[in-house]
Amino acid sequence: MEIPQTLRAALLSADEEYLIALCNKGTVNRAKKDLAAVRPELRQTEGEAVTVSVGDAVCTITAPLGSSTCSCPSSAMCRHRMSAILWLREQAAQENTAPGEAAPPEETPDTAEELIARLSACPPQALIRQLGERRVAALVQRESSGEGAAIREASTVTVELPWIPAVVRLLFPLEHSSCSCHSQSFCVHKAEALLTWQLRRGLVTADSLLEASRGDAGSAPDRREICAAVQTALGDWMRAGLTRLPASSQETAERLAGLCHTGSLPALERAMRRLHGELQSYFARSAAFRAEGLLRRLSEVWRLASALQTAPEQEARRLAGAFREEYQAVGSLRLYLLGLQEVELAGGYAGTVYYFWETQKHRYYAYRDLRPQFYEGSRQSGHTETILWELPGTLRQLWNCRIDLTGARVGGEGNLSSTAQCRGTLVQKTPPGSVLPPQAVEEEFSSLLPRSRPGLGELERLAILRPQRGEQQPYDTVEQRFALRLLDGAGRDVWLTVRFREGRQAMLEALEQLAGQWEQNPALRPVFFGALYREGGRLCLHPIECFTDWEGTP
Amino acid sequence: MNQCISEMEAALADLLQTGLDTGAGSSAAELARLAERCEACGLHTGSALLARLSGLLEERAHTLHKQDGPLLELVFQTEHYIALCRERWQETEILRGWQERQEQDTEGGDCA
Ligand SMILES: [Zn+2]
Ligand SMILES: [Zn+2]
Repeated sequence: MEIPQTLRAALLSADEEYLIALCNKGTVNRAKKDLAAVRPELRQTEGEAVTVSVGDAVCTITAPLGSSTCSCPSSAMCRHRMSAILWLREQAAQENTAPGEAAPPEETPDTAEELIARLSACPPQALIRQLGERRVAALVQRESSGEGAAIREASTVTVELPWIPAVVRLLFPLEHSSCSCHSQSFCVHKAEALLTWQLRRGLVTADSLLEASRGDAGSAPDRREICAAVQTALGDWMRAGLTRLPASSQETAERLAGLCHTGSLPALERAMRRLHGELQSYFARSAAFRAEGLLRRLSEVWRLASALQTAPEQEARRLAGAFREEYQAVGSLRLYLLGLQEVELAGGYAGTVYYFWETQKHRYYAYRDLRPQFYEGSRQSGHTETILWELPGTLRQLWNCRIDLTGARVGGEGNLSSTAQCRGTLVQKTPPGSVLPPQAVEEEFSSLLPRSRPGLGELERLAILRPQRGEQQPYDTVEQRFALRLLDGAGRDVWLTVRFREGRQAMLEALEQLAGQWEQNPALRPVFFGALYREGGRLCLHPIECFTDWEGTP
Repeated sequence: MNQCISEMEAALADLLQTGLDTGAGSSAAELARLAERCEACGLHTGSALLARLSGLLEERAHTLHKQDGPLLELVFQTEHYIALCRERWQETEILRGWQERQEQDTEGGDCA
């Protein structure tokens, strides 16, 4: 068989180490197994390339080996190409020994030398820029404490980053290097591996790295670069699929969220964090995980990144959104504390959310008093509530009171800031019916449907309902759920449901009592305040507060 | 129709499960079949999205240098379409429930 000269040289110099670095150990082993069962067939030789069929797949093997292609769906080095390479290497070795001339070179020193030369020539500045200040500092810190990456040099340079975890295999040509994160681009792990190698070799010093990374703080990647990086990662994950998704994808998602943060893309950062949460639940084998849910998060991130990339400047700024902690001065507000509820968030935060009605703007605001849960052994015990805005009591004590604020600050979604610049005056305790205008109280439910859309924020889904009548449903002992069907005059229904859980007993008891009273006295006309949502084919209300004496003194 | 939407969603979830690099070939045929079912259900946009998706996946299998940008864009567009369909279906269900209830009430009124 006639193997072109450069390909022959590439095959003979490719040792096991090099082949593994082109993909991974698993693929090489699989290819060997395949090779024992099915012999590849030579199709044709054209120029420097050889076409070989391996089973159903047709591979074109060329030098450098990483540039070989295959007809199968895989975009990365696949087992077909690896089988073909292994087989061709056998042929080349046999031909080499046949004439009885010199023994084949065990390992051509050229490749290893080329590699070292190429790795040394990589400008550290580009790597530092890709890693960012914090990551460079962490790298230097690990190196000085002797807990840095494990590096092995042979025909390739293997760098293990166990804290991610990732294994990077650098080879010549550099663009064919592989990483266990499955990224086909020059991922951040490859950058970290290469910079660590340069530092170990003494090509750069720790001080110069730290200095350069600090000096580089000003040139953060721009919006389009960040969006492209986000989409590259999503592309890698979609190509690999859930079954082969590397655990390092969690770290990548977190890093990208951080990048969105520094790049002033808060909406994309939040979408990325939700995606990160979904990935964590996948790797933690959570029972609640569903591939459909992950797909929804991926889609959300991808579409926002696409829109941000193509939008003109002004539109892009709107799409970028605002940081939650970024508060705008809104001057004075006339608030009425309508209700409050204890919440527990997925991220390990818990606390109380207070809901206000603003009497001039006719809209809702909220104050979220949330803290990391590990501070409190059990909720409510010993949790001292801070006094806000120099009011004469805690917010909990000011339920159904009118409060005037001056110098108020509000975050993007209507969340009030606890800023010390804001001053509050307690006006008086007053029944809700005398503060809230009749049009804020829904007696007719048809207008509620658009306000229950899944994409809306919580404050946009808040509603006050005054049903014509109610039908209490039997307590669902399987789902541990209380349900009360609320009906308007035309028979339209909204389902008020409360699932039993810790901290909700008081609400459940109050509702059961209310339902009983209402049955006895149909003229009671209670009022329900809560957040609308949809479940299956039903419109539902998550109750926050209920009132039996809306107009009178509560 | 809701059944059709669920099947679309499951097909995309399958694609995510196996990944484009391994599952793409078998999914193409499955998606083409689903595109026909969507057309029969009256989901014309859904059918067109799936047919294009199936085409791109099929094409991908025979392309040596994969350019996945347009394919991914389409996958996520289709996912978005499914979410919107689901939302609209929910709305129709709620309205239908309200309608039925009103009819029952008026009938009840007539009897009394
Ligand atoms: Zn292949
Ligand atoms: Zn990587």
